[in-house]
Amino acid sequence: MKLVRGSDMLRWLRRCGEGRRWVVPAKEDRHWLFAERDGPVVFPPDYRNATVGPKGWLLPRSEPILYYRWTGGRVSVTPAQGWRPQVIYGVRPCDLKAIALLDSIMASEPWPETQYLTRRAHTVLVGMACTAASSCCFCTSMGVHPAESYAADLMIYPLQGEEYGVAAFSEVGREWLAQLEGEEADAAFSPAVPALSLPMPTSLEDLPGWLERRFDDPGWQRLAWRCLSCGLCAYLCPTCYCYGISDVDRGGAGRRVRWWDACTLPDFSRMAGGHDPRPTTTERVRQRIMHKLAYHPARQGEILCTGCGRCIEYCPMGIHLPAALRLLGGDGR
Amino acid sequence: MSWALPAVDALAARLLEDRLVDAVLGWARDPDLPWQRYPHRVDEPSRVGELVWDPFCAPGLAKLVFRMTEGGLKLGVLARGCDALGVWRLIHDRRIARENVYLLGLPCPGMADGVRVWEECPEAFDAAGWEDHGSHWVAVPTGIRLPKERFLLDKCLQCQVRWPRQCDEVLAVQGGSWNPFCEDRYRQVRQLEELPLPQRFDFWRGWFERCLRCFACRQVCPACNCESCSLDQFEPNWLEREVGVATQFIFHFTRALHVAGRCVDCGECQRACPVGFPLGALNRKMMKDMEDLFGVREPFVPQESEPLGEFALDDPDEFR
Amino acid sequence: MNPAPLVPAVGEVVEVRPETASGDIKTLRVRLPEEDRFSFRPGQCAMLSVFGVGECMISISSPPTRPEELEFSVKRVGRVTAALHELEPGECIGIRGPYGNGFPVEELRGKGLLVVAGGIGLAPLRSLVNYVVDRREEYGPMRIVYGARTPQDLCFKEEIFRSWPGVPQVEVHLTVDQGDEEWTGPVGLVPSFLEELAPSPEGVVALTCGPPIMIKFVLEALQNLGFDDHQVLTTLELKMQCGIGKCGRCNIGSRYVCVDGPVFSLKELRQMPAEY
Ligand SMILES: Cc1cc2nc3c(=O)[nH]c(=O)nc-3n(C[C@H](O)[C@H](O)[C@H](O)COP(=O)(O)OP(=O)(O)OC[C@H]3O[C@@H](n4cnc5c(N)ncnc54)[C@H](O)[C@@H]3O)c2cc1C
Ligand code: SF4
Ligand code: SF4
Ligand code: SF4
Ligand code: SF4
Ligand code: SF4
Ligand code: FES
Repeated sequence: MKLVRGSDMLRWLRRCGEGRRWVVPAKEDRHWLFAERDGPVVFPPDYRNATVGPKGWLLPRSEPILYYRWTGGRVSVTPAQGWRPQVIYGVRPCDLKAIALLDSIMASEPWPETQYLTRRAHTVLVGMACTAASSCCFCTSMGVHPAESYAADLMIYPLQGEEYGVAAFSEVGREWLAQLEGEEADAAFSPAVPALSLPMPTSLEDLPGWLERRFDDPGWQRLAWRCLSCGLCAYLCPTCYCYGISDVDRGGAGRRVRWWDACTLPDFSRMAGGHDPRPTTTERVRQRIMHKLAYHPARQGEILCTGCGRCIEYCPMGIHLPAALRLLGGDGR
Repeated sequence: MSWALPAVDALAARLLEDRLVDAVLGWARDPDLPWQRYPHRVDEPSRVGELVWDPFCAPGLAKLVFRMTEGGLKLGVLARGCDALGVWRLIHDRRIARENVYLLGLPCPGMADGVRVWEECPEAFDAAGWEDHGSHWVAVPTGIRLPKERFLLDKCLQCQVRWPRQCDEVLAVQGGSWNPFCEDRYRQVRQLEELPLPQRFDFWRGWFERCLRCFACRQVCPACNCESCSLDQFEPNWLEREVGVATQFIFHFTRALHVAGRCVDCGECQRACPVGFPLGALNRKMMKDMEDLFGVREPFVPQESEPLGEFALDDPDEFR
Repeated sequence: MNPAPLVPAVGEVVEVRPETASGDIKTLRVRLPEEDRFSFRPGQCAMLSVFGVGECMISISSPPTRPEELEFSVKRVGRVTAALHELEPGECIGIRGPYGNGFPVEELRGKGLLVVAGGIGLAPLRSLVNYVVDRREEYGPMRIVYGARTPQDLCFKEEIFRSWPGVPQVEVHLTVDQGDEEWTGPVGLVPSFLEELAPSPEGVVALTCGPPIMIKFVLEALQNLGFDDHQVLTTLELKMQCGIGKCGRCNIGSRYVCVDGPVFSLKELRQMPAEY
C-alpha cells in the first residue's frame, strides 16, 4: 500500500486515466449515481454508496447488439462496437464483488458474452473501501467485506483526514501504482461495520438447500402479495443482469437492442399463447430471491447478493431478504 | 396516550367482529427495519394489534386494494386522504366495487422519511406513541420532537389532501390539518412554465436520462389500472424497449396524459421512484391544465364523470 | 472466444413448405454460407430472426446427417413466427446456434426408441428420427407414435405416411383427436392411444415432445407402462431471448432450458421445481 495525500492522489489518477472516460459517483438532486465526469473527484463525507450503482456502465440500460440494413432484398448485418476505454472510480466493495459475479456469469461457457467482456476489458476499476455503512448495508452477512478489493484494479483506503492508502490488485493497477509517488507502508484501515445483518436461519453454505426445501412454503405468498410487479429491485441490484432483446426498425434499417429486464415484471416469462410459469407475484418474488440465494449458488457456487442493501432501502412495499428469511423460517407474520 | 392506535385497533376489531369486512388493510412494523412499516392485512379481530399507525406508515394502500378485492373480498381500508382518493379512483374506474371496501378515514399529520429519521435520530423509534403538534411530531413518552420541515416525505411535503374524504367513517384522531408546506399546489409547475423552452427541455431531458424505466411509478399508481398497459404492448409497439431520450419522452408523456384528469395527487409515484424523478410536477401540470382549460375546481378528486372521460355531441372541438 | 454470440449469421430461405391445410405450420429450408455452417445434434435449436421484427427459438427439424441445408418447422403463434411465415424462397433469414443439449444420441445407441409426439412437437424428434434412419444399423427398433388435432394438422406427411413406414424396424402409429371423411386410422388422444399400443419398456428409451398438457399425460402413461424415470426423455419449452444462458429468462430452478435443456430425463425433471 502506498500512502498519499488526497490532492496528489487525484492528480495521479487523472494522469493515468488520460484518454479514458471517467465514471464517478455524482450527487444529483438528493440521489447519488454514477455519471460521466471529466475526472476523479473528492468524496464528500456523506457519500456511502450510490442509489444507482455502476452496473449500467458495464451492462447498459439498453444498447445495440447489431445494426442491419436491407438493400434490394438482401440484408447486411454489422455487430455493434459499444465500448470506450473507461475508468469507473469510487466503487464500493459490494459493487466490486457484484462486478466480479457479473464477470463470471458473462464469461461462463458455452457462450461467453463478448460484448460485455470486451467492454469490461477496457475498464479500469478504482475501488473505495468503506469507512461508514449506510442504514441498509448488510455485506458481511453475505460474506462480503467492506475493505476487500474483489474486481478492483486499484483500491483506495481513506485513512486519517487528507491521507489515503492505495493498493493495486491487477496488472493495470500495478502499472498505475508504479507511477504514484508516495511511501510504501502498512497502514491500519478500520472498515465500516454494517448496521444490518440478515436473520440467517442457517449457515451461508446451507442456505441454498434450506431455501430449496421451502420452495412451496406459504411464506412466499405472505411476503409477495404486496409486491407491485415493478422492476425496481432488479434494476437497482448490482448483480441482476437479466435482459430482453428486440428490434428497433426504422423502415428498412435499424438495430437489434438488448435492454434490462426483470423477473419481477409481469410479462418476463409469459409465452406466446399466454402460458406463464410464474403468473403471480408469489412465483416472481420467489424467483428473484431464490435466484440470488439458491439457484445461482447451485449453478456457479456463489451467492448472487452482495448485501448492498438497495432492494431493502428502495422497494416501495417493504419486500426484502430479511423479511423473506424470517417468513420462510415460520417466524413472523 | 398515543395519537390514534387504540382507536384504530378498536374500529378494525369491530369491523371484523361484525363481519362488515373480511379483512382490514393497514400497516405493520417491520421486525427487521426499525424505521419501516409495510402494508399489512389482518383477518381476525384478535390480530388487530399487529396494525400500526404512526408517522412512518409511508406506503400508499390504494393500488393493493385493487388486486385484493378482485375475488370479491370485502376489505376495510385504513385510509389517509391520499389512500381514500386512490380507492375512489379505482371505484370510479370500475376496478373496485364500492360495496367491497369500507373506508376507515385517518386524518393524516404527514408521514416521515423513516430512513432519514433512523440516520439522524434513531432514539425516535423508542417511542410508545406519537402526537401531532402541527409543525412537529412528538414522541410519547420520550418527548422527542421531530420537525416536519426536515423529515416529511417528499410526497407529504407537497400534499394537500391530508383530510380523508368520502370515507365510511373517519376516526377522531389527531391530524388532517392544513399542510403549511404546500401553500401552492402548482408552485413548481409555475416555476417550470416560466423557464425558457430550451431550459425547460434540458430540465426534463436530465430527468429522462436518469429514469431507469423500472415502472415502479406506474405499478404503484391507482390511476394506472388498465388490464393491459399500452406501454407494454408489442403490437402495436407504442414504446420501444430501447431506453433513450425520445422513448423516455414517450414513456413519461404517455403516462402523464393517460392519468391526466384522473391523477388523485396521492404522490405515490414520487415516493416509489428510486431516483427522485419529479413526477409530481408532470402530473400537476396536467392538473393545472384541467383547472385552466376545463374549469375543474379540484381535478384530483375522482368524479362520476370527468371532462377527459366523457364524450359530448356538443363538444366545441376547438383543437381541430 | 466466439465472436459476438448474439449476432446471427445470414442465411437464405430455399424452400417454404406448408405442413398443414390451415397453413399454421410451415417448414423453412434454409441454406447458410459455407463459413457460417455449424454441426449440431438432433434436438438442438437455433434462434431464427427476421431483421426488423425479432428473434425466436426454433428446433432444427432436419438431421445432422444432412448438413448442407437446415430445416425449421414453425407454428405461427405470434409476431416473429408470423414474420417467418411470410418469408419466401430467396429471402434472408438470421440464424444463430446451435443451442441446447439435444438428444443423447451416443447413449441411445443400440437401444430401442419410442418416439411420442403431438402436433408441432414432432419437429425436434423428426431430426432424431431421420438421424436414426440414416444410421439405421446403430439403433434398435424405432416406434413412432404421433398425433394431431385433425388429419389436416399432421405434419411431415410425406415422411409419416410414406418414407418412414418403409424403413426396416420402423413403425409409425398415427392418431387424431378428430377424424374426417377420409381418415380411417385411430381416433383418440396420444396418451390413451399410447397405453393401448402398450409398448414394452424392455431396452427402450421413450422420447416425447408436444403441448405441455399432452406431455403431462404421456409421462403418466409411460409410467403406467413400466418405463423407469431414466428411460424417459422429454423436451421443455420456456420463453427465451438470448439462447445462451445469459438473459436469465428460461430457468427452472438452477437449470437454464436454453443451455442445459431443452431435453431432460424424467429423473432430472423430478428433481427440478415444478415451475414450467
Ligand atoms: C427449445 C425450444 C424449441 C422450440 N422449437 C419450436 C419449433 O420447432 N417450432 C415452433 O413452431 N416453435 C418452437 N418453439 C416455440 C417458439 O419459440 C415460440 O412459439 C416463439 O418464440 C413465439 O414467438 P413469437 O414472436 O411468434 O411470439 P410472441 O408472443 O410475439 O413472442 C415474443 C417473444 O417472446 C419469446 N417467446 C414467446 N413465446 C415463447 C415460447 N413459447 N418459447 C420460447 N420463446 C418464446 C420469443 O423470444 C418471442 O420472439 C420452441 C421453443 C423452445 C423454447
Ligand atoms: S419486490 Fe418491491 S421493488 Fe421488487 S418488484 Fe416487488 S414492489 Fe417492486
Ligand atoms: S439482492 Fe438487494 S442487497 Fe443483494 S445485491 Fe441485490 S440489491 Fe443488493
Ligand atoms: S432472474 Fe431476477 S433475480 Fe435473477 S438476475 Fe434476473 S432479474 Fe435478477
Ligand atoms: S419510478 Fe422513477 S425511475 Fe422508475 S420508471 Fe418511474 S420515473 Fe423512472
Ligand atoms: S400519477 Fe402519481 S400522484 Fe397521480 S394518482 Fe398516480 S401515483 Fe398518485
Ligand atoms: S434464453 Fe436467455 S438464459 Fe435461456
